[in-house]
Amino acid sequence: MVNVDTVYKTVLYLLNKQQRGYITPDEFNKTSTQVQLEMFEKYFEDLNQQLRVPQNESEYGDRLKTVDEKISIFKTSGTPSASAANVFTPPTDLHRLGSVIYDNTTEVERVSQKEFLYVNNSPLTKPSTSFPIYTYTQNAADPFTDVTVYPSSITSDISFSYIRKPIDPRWGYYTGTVGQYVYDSSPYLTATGALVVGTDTLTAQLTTDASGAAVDGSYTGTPTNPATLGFATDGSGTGASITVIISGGVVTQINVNSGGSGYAVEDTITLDRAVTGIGGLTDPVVTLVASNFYPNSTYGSTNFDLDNTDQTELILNILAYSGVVIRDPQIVQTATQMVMQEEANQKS
Amino acid sequence: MADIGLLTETASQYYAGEQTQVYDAIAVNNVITWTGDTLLIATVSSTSITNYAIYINNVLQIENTDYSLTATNEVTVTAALVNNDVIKLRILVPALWNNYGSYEYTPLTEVINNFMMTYTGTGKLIPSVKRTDVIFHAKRGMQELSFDTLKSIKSQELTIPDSLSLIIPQDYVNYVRMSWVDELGVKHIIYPTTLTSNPYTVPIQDALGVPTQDSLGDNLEGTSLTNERWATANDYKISGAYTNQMYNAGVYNWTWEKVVYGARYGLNPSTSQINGWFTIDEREGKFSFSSNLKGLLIILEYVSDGLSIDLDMKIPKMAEEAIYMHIMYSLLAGRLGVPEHIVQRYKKDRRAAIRNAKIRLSNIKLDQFVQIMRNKSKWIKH
Repeated sequence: MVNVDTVYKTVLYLLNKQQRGYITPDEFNKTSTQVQLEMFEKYFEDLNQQLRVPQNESEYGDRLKTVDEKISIFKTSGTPSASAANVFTPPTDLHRLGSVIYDNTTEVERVSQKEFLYVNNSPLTKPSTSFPIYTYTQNAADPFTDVTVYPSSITSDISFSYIRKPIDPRWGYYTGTVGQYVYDSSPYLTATGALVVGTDTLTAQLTTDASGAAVDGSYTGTPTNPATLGFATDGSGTGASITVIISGGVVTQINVNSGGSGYAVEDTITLDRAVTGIGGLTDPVVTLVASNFYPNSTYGSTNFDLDNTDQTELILNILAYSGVVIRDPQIVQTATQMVMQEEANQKS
Repeated sequence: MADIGLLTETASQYYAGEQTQVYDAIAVNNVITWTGDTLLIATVSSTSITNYAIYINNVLQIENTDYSLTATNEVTVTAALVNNDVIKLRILVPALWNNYGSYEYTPLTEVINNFMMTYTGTGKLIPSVKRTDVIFHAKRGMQELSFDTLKSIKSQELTIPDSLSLIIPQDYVNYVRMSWVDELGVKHIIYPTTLTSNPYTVPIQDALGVPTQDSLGDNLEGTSLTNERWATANDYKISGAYTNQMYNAGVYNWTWEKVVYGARYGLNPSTSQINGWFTIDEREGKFSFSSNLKGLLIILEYVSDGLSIDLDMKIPKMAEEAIYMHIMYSLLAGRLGVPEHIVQRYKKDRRAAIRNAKIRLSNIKLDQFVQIMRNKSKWIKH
């Protein structure tokens, strides 16, 4: 993986060298996603190209092995869901289907619908549990491209090896004291209803304070419904860890230590004074708003999914796009030339 | 220790067809996983095709009451068990017999997998191939080799009924030899004959000799008179055998002064035998025998194509290379852009491998060879 902060800062450094311009985190994130997808797709073309060239058996000079290593990050396996007796829906993060495997031992061979008719009608090639086959076609019953396995007696024990989609990179940030963008290194959580992790992230959403003589201290718990050790929510969220800091008898800071899942906008998080020992006259209440969740916040970062060895090319490609963004042809030209030079070096 | 040996069964699994497990009440190990080569088969839909049995302390248990096959080669014992009970899984006959000598063969599935793995792929002569193509050529190779290289002759012991005909076996491709067996168990070859034939259609003719039709316009079919006559033929009239009738007629009477005694002019040696004949009735799918064979015990030896049942789909290791070369050649010969010298190389390789397999499977042993030559009154020094 390539660190997103390293890339962003390097790009900014190169762009700002002669006060050429600046790209915002949002522009960077969009450009990064585009570049990552471009480079990811190119892996497969590179692989095909290298497969046609005789390779060597050296430890680190085998280009085929090098490309395969880059792709290996995305290789995964999964068990599909069966949408009919012998029809299986691939996992949602599938990008390219690799092998379909029956009973963990037998490869299921892919055939076209036309081939299937002939294969199935010939006694010699008819599919069997020893040599099963599948077709990969759009299923009218669901919006997915499904795998239909033959012989149709195979209704379970199917697994897939596949290439997953790359995860979009994201340079997460929050606004610093002088308005600057500060990098948020905490990971961007993809679970639905996960709270934004960070210091002070819930303080502004305090709707009821523990008025009166609250006991100063740090109180940590997990809001659930029903309450767990005095931390309650009226929604269905679970798993988040929250720390409430009381100083001078009032709540001064509410931090989220881990995001959990299942929380929603307008859910309340309440601390039971009696159970938590906060004291005071009222239970502190936090009412969640949209910005407490990752899709609506700038918090949370995701590193590039690409292989470490591609950091240079990644930076150059983003730089080329950044040149387009800031309308500087010289940057575009230089970055593009350098990318081409590197490409030529890798493949000649 | 290296672990690349091909034998995977223990001696107990191979010879006795058994695997035992001591029950541990704490671990509750009531599932016995058979690790031998034979695939366990359970009773399906009340039809007993089970090829194994479970014994607890040497007492036979009842399938689906005391034990059942719960996964591939995994048997769950549901009978009450106490600590240190000995659970024994035993493979039953004929599955046990099928396993004996199985090391002599390589299953066709293994041949296909080996081929896909070794002969195809990046940097090889065949960079990519559909497995379906390999399966097709492997099975075709199996058929071709079965006919004259593998010597995998099947045989049936049958008794010829009064109808003088026997149905062709289900997996029959061609016959090798037909013999009747005398009271000593010695085989006597029955020859096919061209003296008669079995007509494929027997249309009923009208007075003018024109075939007649039914209301649907199809020819009316009758029974074959040729077959009837052959079935009732007196064999001696064809073989020329000496009969009581001849004796009674005084054909070789002494009073003829032994002029023709022992002399059988015009005798046809190919038909002058008492073993009888058979023909193949393609229309009815039967072997038809001459009348002198009625009630006799016969042995029918025939070849199949090696593909009729799963158990047949194996290739002798002596011919494994031949099937690889057959697949290789067949794939290359039908492929676009393969240089002709490559195709020819594999054509030669295939031929050589098949020849090699034939020689190996002919089982010509020096000692047997010498013994047979002794029969011929030859002096052999060795």
